[in-house]
Amino acid sequence: MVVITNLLVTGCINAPVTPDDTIKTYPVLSPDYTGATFPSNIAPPNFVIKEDGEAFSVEFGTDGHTLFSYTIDVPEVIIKERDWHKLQKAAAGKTFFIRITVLRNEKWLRFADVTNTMSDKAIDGFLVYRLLYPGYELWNEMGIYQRDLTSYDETPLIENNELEKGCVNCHTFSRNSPENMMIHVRGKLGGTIIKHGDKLTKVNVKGEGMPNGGAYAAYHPSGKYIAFSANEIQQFFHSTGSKAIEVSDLESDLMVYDVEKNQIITDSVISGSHFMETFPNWSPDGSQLYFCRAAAYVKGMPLDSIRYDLFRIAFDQDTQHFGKPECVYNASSKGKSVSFPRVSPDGNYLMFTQSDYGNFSIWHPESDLCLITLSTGKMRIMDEVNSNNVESYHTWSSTGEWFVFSSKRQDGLWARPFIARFDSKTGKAGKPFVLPQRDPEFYDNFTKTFNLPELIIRPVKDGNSFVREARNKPKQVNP
Amino acid sequence: MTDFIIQFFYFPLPGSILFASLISLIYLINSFLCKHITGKADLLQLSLLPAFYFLICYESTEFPVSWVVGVLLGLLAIRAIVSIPFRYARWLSAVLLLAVLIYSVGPLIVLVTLLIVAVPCFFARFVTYRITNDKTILLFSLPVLLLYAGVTFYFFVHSYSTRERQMIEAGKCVKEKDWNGVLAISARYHGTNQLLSYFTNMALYHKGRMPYDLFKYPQSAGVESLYFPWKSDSRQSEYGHFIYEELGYLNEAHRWAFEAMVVFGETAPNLTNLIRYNIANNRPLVAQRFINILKQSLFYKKEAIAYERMLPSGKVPGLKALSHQEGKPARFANVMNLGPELRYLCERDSSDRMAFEYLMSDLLLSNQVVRFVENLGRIRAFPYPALPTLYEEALYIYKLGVDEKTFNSLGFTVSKQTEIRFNAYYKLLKSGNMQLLKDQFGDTYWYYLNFTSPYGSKIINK
Repeated sequence: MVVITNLLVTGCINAPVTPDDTIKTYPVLSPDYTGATFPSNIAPPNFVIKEDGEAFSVEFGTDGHTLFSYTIDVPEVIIKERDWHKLQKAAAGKTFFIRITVLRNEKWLRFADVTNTMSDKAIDGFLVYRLLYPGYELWNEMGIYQRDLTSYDETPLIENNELEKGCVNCHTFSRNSPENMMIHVRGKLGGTIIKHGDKLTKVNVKGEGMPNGGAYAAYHPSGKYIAFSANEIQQFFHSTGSKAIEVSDLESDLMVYDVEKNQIITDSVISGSHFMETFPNWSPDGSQLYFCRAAAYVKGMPLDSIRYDLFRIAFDQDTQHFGKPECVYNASSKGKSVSFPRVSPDGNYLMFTQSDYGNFSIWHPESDLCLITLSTGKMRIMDEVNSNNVESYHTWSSTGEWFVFSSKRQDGLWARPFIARFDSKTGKAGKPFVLPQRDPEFYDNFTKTFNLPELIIRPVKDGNSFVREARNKPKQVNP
Repeated sequence: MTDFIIQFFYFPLPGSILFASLISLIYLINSFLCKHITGKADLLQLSLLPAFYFLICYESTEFPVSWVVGVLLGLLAIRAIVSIPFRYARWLSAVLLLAVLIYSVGPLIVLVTLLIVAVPCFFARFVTYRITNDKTILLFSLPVLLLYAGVTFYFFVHSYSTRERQMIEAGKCVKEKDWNGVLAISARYHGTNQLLSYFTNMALYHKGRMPYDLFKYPQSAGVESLYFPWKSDSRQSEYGHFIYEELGYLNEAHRWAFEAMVVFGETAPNLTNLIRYNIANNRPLVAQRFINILKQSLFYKKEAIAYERMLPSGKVPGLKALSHQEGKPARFANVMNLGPELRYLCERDSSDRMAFEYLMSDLLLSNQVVRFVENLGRIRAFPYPALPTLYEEALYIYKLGVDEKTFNSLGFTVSKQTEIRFNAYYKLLKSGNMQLLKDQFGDTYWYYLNFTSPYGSKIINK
């Protein structure tokens, strides 16, 4: 009665309760913040207890000691930042428990403790993503936003309502840094806005005689070059079944843009009519360019027969010459297809997405994250992070100790950013968790998709400068 | 705020009353402000003009509701500011409220609101301020009011679009599956309109009249009177889903509904469509997300809960879904041409009468008489009492172009009556009496092929 009276008055009290009974089952939490490893600087992971009850007691602690607790009359657990910081400090490098006790029929019933790990390692402080409806072809409102991972603050980097409703996409950073980055703008104000140090330039990244302009990009670690794929991309719509859309290239080549000389470098080994090359990614030392390659599309070819293998090619930064393409992983021979190769910052691993065909894995429920140990060439499917739905676009943190990836595991339509710990010694990842939000039911009601999550070490400053630059006429590349 | 207002149109009458009240409030508050700020009455009744202007503007569905809401909020903010007795507090709150208003409704609406307030104040303070006598006020105000009312009436009538009203009514009938209503509107409608033809043809199918009466209604858009080819046209996005829903082709219906949501926002009709399609297409988790949004609305909560109950069954009353064939190669929709999709649907289910009648109509409307005849055999799956009139007319054209053996191999015959009618048509055509030809044969396939088809008067055989 005292508890109930307190709840009625305050809605929340802070003393843990003594259970009348205990059960060995774990409580269901939404989002699923169980068994995960949290970075030492992440914002509090608020959640909803998906168990019936008239009141709820939640204790947080480590080493057997409760550090703080809440007794609440609704199952929404909003962790106070002060409490969370206390836990981050006390549990750094250790596990911590969430102890949940539920009042049912005037008896407090305690569930088995939920255990998570608090890493002593921090994740890069900011996550940049595009928010838009996971629609088909039309768009209305969209924007690229940066989220402070240590809090819930989200600020727009660039929104299309300032750009005559054009499409903004493909934000790309060099080595997780906003110093060198780029954004594409499509539509009336179309062009690629490249930030090189303090200088912003809008460029039409299209070589003379090339049918397609630059699309998917990878900023060279030196900041001097950007590798682009130039794709002719088309959407197709499945007649039946759970897959809605197929996005396919009908043509694609690679090129490297010299940021300082405003020139395009290409070579027949990475472009031409025999193959389609796409999704470039540099090795951390910039000496190798990884990419996906498939046999060229021939009119009438079934789209589900297009499969990409993982390739790499040497690139000499000084002479700007390419070596010979080398197959790193022959996925097509296994009836699979590769997209989004991303080399870890230490250069030891390469993470990619594998699907049954094509390269636009975000629309393929079967797509999974895979990892190649580059020294041995051994590939494994990352079962510890995959689900039975889409796992697709991923980015390493600057230290390689974390990675973020898009997953549609919650409902099959909306991509959400999941974060996972990565142990570079074992090559194993921890259980991923969805990006915490202030409102624990945020993902149940949010109908925009998180597109291309990219971790950066510092926030991008002055997003307005991108808008101003976007309004300028694009510079043509030098011949 | 705009979304909040719009949802009251769930009930047409209270919605209209609310909207009329909003427009009236603009006058009342503005009039009050004039009196409060200048200490003089708005003798020229200039406060009425914005309200009258909005009245005319909102005859069109295109005019954004955000204007009336924004102006009203602006006026209320000014009303609040002028009520503050302390000078410094008044200025401070003016700056703060102005900033909030600019942020929430945009600088243009704020500027217009300030003008709406400033103009009557200016005239009251500097032009009509000497008039104090009640009789004079009455003599002054009355003609002004009559003038405003007359001008508003003129513009209201002048800009009123009967066609727009009819289109809105037709759209409502389609949603309610009132097919008689659609045909009645179509019969009253003057001129041609692709959207109305699209609705009319759906009604014709549902009334069982498509193979008989297709050309009794305007089909000048050709096959595009049956569907909307995907042209990335945001205006069309809210209509495209109807035909695919009726055909049970839910992936395409979903695509159109989703595009409509992207363009027009998370409105109740858009959310409802997406919920229904996702339930029937076995995507309960996606449906649940849209249900969560719909549940937050004032008037659709019960509907949302009803849909939530359907989630486990995967069934929505009145909605059929084309099943997915596991293990078969991926098949992609032709979003530009409904013809291949209709053939696909007929092949998937030979008893799908709607797909069949639409396919035949598509082939007739596109002048493809040979392919029409090639597909005519599918009719045997359906219990038509006899070959429908329009099909016979097309078949007779085919007969005229092939030898007897080829025609006989089809296993169809053309009635004597159709042959006689064609001869009469041909005779009238040769006589050059086009008006009589149109009067007597305007609803035949022959007339469509010769005069109406946007693809010319030749049979297309490819």
